[in-house]
Amino acid sequence: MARNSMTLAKEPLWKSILRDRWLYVLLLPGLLYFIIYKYLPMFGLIMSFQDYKPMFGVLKSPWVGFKHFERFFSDPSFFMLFRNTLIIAFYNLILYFPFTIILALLLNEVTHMKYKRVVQTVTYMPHFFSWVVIASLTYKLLSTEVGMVNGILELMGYEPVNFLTSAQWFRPIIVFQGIWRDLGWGSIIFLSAIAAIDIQMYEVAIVEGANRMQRLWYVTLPSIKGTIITILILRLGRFLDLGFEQIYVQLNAMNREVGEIFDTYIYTMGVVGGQYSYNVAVGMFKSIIGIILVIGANTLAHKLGEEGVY
Amino acid sequence: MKKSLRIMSLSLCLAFLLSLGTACSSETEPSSTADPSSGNTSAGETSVSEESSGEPTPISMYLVFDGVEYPAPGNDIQKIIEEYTNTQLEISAYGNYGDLYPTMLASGDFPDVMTTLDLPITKDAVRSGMFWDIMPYLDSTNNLKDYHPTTLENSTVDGKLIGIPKVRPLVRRTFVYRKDWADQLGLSVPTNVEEFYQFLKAYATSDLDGNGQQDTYGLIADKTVINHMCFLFGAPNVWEIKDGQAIRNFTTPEYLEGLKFMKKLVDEKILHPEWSTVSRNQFYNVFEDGTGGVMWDSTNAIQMLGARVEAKDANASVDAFTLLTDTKGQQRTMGEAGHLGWLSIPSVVPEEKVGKIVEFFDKTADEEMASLLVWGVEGQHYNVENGNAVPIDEAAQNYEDTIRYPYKLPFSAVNYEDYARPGIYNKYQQRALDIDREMLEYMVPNPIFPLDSQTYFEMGKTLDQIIEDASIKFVSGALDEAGFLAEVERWRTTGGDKVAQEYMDSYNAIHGGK
Repeated sequence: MARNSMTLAKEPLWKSILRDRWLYVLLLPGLLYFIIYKYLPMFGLIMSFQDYKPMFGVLKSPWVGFKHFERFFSDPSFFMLFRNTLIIAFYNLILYFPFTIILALLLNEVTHMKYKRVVQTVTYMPHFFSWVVIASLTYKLLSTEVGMVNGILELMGYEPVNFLTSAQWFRPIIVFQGIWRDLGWGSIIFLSAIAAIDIQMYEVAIVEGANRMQRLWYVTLPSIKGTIITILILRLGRFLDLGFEQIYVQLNAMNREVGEIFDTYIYTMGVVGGQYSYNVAVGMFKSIIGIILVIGANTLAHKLGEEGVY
Repeated sequence: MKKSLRIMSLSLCLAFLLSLGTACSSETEPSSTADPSSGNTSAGETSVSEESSGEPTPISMYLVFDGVEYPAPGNDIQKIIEEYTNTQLEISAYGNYGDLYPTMLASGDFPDVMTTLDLPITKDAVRSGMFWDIMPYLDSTNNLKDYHPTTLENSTVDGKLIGIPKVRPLVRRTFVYRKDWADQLGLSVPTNVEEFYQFLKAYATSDLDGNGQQDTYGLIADKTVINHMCFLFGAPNVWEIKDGQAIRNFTTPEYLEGLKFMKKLVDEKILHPEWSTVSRNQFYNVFEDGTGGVMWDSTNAIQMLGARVEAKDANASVDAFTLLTDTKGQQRTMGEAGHLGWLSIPSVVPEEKVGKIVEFFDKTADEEMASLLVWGVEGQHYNVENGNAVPIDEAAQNYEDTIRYPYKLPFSAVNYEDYARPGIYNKYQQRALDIDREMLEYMVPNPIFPLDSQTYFEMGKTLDQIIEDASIKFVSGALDEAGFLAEVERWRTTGGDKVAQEYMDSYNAIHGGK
């Protein structure tokens, strides 16, 4: 892209626009989408520096500077939220992300097409379940009253485990649910990246005497490295966006200290409690962290000689 | 961020849609500009007059709707209401009102009547002059002037009435129990806490469903039962103003006694073990299945629980007891807000229309309208025998779908049963009405409903969470007494003491105390 525009630099801008007008028309819906749904709402960010009152609107609400940010950082639950969010996000990243790549690699090695398709479908189906459904399934499996798992434990002579009201089990359950739900879905993009690898490379590797593991290690993985890094960076941007619903429907008194995260906190404080400005301030904090992570990861990717996302 | 962006874009869209909506409606009714600050001025005399003839008044409303499908405008029932009240209703009903409400409030575009919910933001909105003060209008009404003083007091901010209260009984907590089992075991209704315990224990230790196993629980309740349990041991009704101090029940020794009692119930497997995580709605199945003997609920659930239990087992029946006597021998019961939000009139509505809107809700309590809302249409939903309305069983569902859910419950401007023609209620309904009336004189109100605290507005969620979590943990055994008291201390220092002080200041400001 960059090189293309260099060669066209002598031509006046309007001329190139005129020439490619239909391309620009095609661009328009996407552009409008971003302006309307992504940029215009950012105007609302100024609410975080105000004491927003619906009566006065954004234009007339009183300005309060960094009051809401100060309140947030001095909130007794700030560190708990920060810690919980980071820990769950980190688990998600190191456990879920590699699994998607491994699944894609495994599927790629399967030669029986029908079997491969079935596995693929079965693994990505759960992605379309809502979290409420998954939470109910979990309840049916793990509750002490009707839970199958506890039933089996009892048959084997063990004490039932209070999975759902325990601080130790909350994070493993959350992370496991995430992997179960999105594993297949996440692997699709890697599968398609693998499918795009030039078949000749494998042929050459076979001729050179590479075995399966070596082909995987020296051909497949390096070929999808760029995709992995791109996906990783994009994921980092949403690093702190843990499934709000997922966690919200499974929070209770016994696991709150390990389970309350920014999203659930924003919901209870800001949306239910109607503290609009405070809500926006917390949301803004979260997205600033997201931006820092993306820029950081992207810079790192450049340093390592990769393309990154921009 | 994605979340809040989505919320913001949602509000933008909503604001856009709403502005479209009002743009359309303002064509029919052009004058709708008013100075927001004029929300303070009273206009009692100019209001309810004999202007019932003439053009019907168009009234747009946002209502809470708990039914399945809202009937189309222009249905027969709405026509009857519109004709009687000389209005033209434009109703927008929402099932997920609680989720939408903060956004609606923020959008700033309002209908003539907006259901407002009992949240701190509502008080904030009233204070900034967003709604008319309805108080001056009440005197000139026929029916609305008779609100219970506590309901009214709980509906005011700085002396301004937030809106027409959607009334609900002030006292409604009760214990619904399987009557057939009590008869079977020869148990009489408990009158004090000790008998209550024995009653529950008898249910829990007898094989009542006859499956050879002790798998019945004595009591089914969700986590909100905590306050009531502690109340039985003499703790305040959430808050209490005593000796110039606002005291939260959580900090009293009686509260801890109540928690110990609950812990005993949990340890002896009398209380359903999932009490802290499962919601009340989910527990209805448990009660229906006969896995529990007593269910803690409000009086309006008696009928529903009775019907469900009877449908499952023809020999089963339910009744309810109130357990008024606490461990100190006092007769008392917990007072609640007495309302379920309000029907508020935004201050953008012109003054001359406010009176007409109040008049509309006043008229819904006239006998003819109240009878429609309570019994339905004569000949269609009920027959008259000896001057009493007798519901027609086959039409019950139709009544629910076309009258009770779409009109009676969202309006609730009065307790319509009190204004409707006499009739024969189903035995469970009658029981609920009786209990509501019996208990009223023993009511201990929660004093903080009309009071204010900025700290609570900002940190209430966090503070309440400390209380709830600590209580549940204590009952579940995850926290010992010292640990619990440490949480009480944490609540105090995190802002609890400040909240108490602010409530007290607010109380003194209202009552002119020292």
